[in-house]
Amino acid sequence: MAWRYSFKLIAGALLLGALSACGRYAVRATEKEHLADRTMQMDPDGQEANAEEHVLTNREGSLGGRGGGGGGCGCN
Amino acid sequence: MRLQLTALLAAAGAFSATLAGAGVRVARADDRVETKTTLMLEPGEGVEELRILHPQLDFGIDIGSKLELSAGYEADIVSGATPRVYDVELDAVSSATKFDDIRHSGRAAFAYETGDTTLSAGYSYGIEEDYRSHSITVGMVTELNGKNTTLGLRYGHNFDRVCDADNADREPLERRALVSSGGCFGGGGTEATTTHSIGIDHYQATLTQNLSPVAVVQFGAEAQVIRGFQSNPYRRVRVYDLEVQEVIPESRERVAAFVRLNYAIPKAASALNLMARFYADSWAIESGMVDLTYHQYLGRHLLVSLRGRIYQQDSAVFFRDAEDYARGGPVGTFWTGDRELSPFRDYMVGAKFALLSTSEGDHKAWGVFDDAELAAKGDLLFYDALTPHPPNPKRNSSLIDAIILQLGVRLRW
Repeated sequence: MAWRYSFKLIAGALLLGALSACGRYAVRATEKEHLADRTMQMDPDGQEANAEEHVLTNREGSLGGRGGGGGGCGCN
Repeated sequence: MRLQLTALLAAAGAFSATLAGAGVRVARADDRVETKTTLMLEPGEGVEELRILHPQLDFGIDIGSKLELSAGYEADIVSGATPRVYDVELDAVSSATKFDDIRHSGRAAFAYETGDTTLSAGYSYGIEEDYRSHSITVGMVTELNGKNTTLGLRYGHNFDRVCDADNADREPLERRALVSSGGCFGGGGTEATTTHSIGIDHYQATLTQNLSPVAVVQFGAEAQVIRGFQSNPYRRVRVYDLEVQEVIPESRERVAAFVRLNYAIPKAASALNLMARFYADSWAIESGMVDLTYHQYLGRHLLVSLRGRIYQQDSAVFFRDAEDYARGGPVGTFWTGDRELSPFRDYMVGAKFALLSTSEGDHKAWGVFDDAELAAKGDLLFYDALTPHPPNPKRNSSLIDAIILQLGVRLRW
């Protein structure tokens, strides 16, 4: 169905773009100012994500997608 | 009356929540306390509004420089009306059942940092009148490549029990639904009840990669295996001219894969977060989701976030339109009136406003803290059924199908 192809196209573009860059760039510690910002974290607010998962799990028959295991900064 | 919404939700939620407060990413540097209260309203046409109040409280402390301990509590306070029978004429006032229930859940976790790796483990316990849940979760996060690559692994297991009417050896088409939770877990009601076990294994792996000083990407995969009673014991489905208890398979395997991209726009003091996710399970449900959030700083202390999300799914292989069950009967030996298992699309739009304060030199945030945040958030959910007679039609006939409001405070010192 058309919606599946649309979703796959978006994810495929993201995946290819990201994979092409993985491991090729090492961002130096002094360049991580913007990566350290809360807006760049994958799971910046555990309670907020937990509450949303709580609501959506009740309405939708799927799971997953919540970020975890690392933000963008890597400067702790 | 049972919180249907917390049955398997407890499973999914516990996996995330158990380590949500703990330093499952990388051990945090400050002691902290945070609280949020979420109110979800589902209006309905001719049925009582469904209200869910969800307060959360978490705190964490550091023991030395390597160990963080955390604990948390959350509850669901639910009231409203739920359809009694999945039928073509479903959800008329006369066929809706009013209910109130409260679920309590407590959790504790620790995170230990050793070198570039953080290990964590947590436990949570949830209780409501007709459901008990024990959950354990373990996790590991390690940073590689000059801390530009982060690998995260998590595993969780639930040991749950759910109450049901005691149907002994009745055939599926003879099973009666549970009427009340009063007799559950030795509650002393007049109804004969029993309990069933549910075992849930949940796996997650993520890989996060810094792409540039302004871009980071994350890939992730999740899997869940559920074994045990997964029907709603209260729900009845009209199959031919019979109103029988919902029957769905006792085994389900679920997988999801997602990719997230965060991109900062320093000149505009803003950032974009984009996520796409695919999901499939052994009940033949497939779904896709795309989520876009735009963050904009207005001055140093106000962060505004605008968000849009679209989700669509197919139905489970045994799901039928209400009319099809009533006239043609089921295919196989399963029947359900669960909206989660029907085909639909939903949209979410929302906004969040966060007031941020950070200490500068001797100047503490709010006079006491290193960081303080006060946030308010609102989301609207719109639902499109993709079948003529879906579950909960009266619940989904409003212009706005759900309103989610949230208020939160986070303090670190």
